[in-house]
Amino acid sequence: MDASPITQGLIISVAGLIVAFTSMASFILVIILLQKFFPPKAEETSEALEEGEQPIIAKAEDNEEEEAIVAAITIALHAARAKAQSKLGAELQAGRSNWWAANLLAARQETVIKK
Amino acid sequence: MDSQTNNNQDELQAKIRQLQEMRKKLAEGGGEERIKAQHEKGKQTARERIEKLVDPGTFQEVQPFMLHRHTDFGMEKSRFLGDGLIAGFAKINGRRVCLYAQDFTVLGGSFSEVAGIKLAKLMDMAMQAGVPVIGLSDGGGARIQEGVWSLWAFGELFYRNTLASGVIPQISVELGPCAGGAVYSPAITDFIIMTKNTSNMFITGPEVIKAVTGEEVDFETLGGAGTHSSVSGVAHFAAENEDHALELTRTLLSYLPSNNLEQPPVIPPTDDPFRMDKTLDAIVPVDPNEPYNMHEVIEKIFDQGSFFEVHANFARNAVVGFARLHGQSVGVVGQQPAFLAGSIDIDASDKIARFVRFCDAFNLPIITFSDSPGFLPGVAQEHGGIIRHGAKIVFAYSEATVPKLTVITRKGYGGAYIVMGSKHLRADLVFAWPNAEIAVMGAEGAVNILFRKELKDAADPKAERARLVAEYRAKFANPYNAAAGGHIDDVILPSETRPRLIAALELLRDKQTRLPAKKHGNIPL
Repeated sequence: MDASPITQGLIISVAGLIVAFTSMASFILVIILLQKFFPPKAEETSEALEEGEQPIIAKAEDNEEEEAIVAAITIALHAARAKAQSKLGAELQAGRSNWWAANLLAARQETVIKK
Repeated sequence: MDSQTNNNQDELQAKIRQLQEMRKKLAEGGGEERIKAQHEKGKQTARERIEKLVDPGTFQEVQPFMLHRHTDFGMEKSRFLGDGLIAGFAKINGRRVCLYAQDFTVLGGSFSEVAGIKLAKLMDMAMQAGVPVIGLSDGGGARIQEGVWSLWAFGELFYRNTLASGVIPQISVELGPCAGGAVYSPAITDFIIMTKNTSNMFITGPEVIKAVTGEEVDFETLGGAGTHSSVSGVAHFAAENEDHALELTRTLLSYLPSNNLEQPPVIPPTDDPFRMDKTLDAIVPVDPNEPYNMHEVIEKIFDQGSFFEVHANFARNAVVGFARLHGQSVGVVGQQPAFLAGSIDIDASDKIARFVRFCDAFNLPIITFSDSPGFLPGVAQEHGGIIRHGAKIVFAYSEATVPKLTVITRKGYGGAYIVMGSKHLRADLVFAWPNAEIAVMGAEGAVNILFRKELKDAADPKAERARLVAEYRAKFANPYNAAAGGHIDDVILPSETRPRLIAALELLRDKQTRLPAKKHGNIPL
């Protein structure tokens, strides 16, 4: 009965591993069972459609003109975005940087010292 | 205990009522009759003007209960709260300003010792806070009954006007008479706005002039808005009426920083930075003697509708004003080929130099459109001191440390080319349009001087002159000679000017240049 500490440690480790893996296996089993009983809704929909319900699909031939308009708008948007991305004048909007403030301060200090 | 509390309450209520009564009296100014008389003249009261000028509910009056201490000529019987000057601070377009208004209903708006004290405080406060000062003038000058004290008051104001010059923008709105020494306060300020038919400014009135020189002249011709905004150049703007004058003030402020350490205001841009107006490519006539309108050029380059002209009717051979480039406030200087061929005369020199110095003082980049055949010739010009006045432009441009961009649109002849923001006066970037001509003088003049002997000896002097003129033109009537020498930075299409100027401004937004240390320069005044 008086097992050495090493043996005791090994027994506890093995027991722990068994308990952990058994718990994990049981969780997996529960998940599989739940999936079987409650399948995902998307599957339900697709199944429903397969059974005969037709989804509403816009007719492509009616959209030819619209596609041209959409294409024109897309090109215009791209052009506008390209312009915006070049950011001409963006720095003016950002205002003066620390460089200006720092130098202005230095210039003022210089003037004060000279006085 | 209860009765004591009630007594306290009653006493407090009485004091509050007293304050309310005094405020009511304050609002009445010189009394109902005088207010009525003011309205009959087509003028508003000082308080009405302030209300119209500032953002609603932002005006805070200071020292409203001051009274004068004088007793001579029965003055002890004429004491009005505030003593005819309303001073305070407010907001215009959400930005802080200090302002004062002379109340004509109180002793004719005469300027008193109290007015001097109040204005001295206001000006000091404005300078310390770094906010613009706006003066709404409508008064009969110094209060005679107060003797030297009213002169002291004016002196204090003039001194502070001078100290504040270049520190905070100062705007004078003339809405009534302004005579004698009183004119020097607005004269020192940066901008004067006058209303047509109701305001006038002069040192000596028509009666004195008639007595001294025998000349007969009416108030409007002598010192009205029309005269000062077109002949003398004293006024920068002539407003149709009081409301227009106040609107001009609000617009003007929208271009200016609050003080000399602040950057100019930037508004969200409403115009495409890449906009290239193709009509610009054809705006300058091929014939160098044919005029075109510089206003059109400016309108097409800057943010649409943003050009705000200063001194529009004075020295019309030069164009100065504020505009926006991609939302950024800038100062615009140009020559007007449609008036006196854009030549620079005495008045144009003063107009340009003063504007350039203002822009430099308040960190506004200067954009110059140069097209000048030279200085205006004539005995009157020479004797009037065109040398001295023209030198002011050189001084102003050389001294300016703000970003300086120049576009040579056509002629750049001789001294006029140098003074109009050339690279030699340290313009940061100089662009030229393809039809620019940069030379010492025009082709005809140069040929006459250079080939005098050849022309005299030629069998057909006329044909020979035409040949030599054509040769000279071929050599100098283009910008590439100057570009080859590095005197201009690039030759650009007129339609490209807008994006090129925006890009240049962007680069130079943090520009720092220091002038040699000195007390001050000695501009040829």
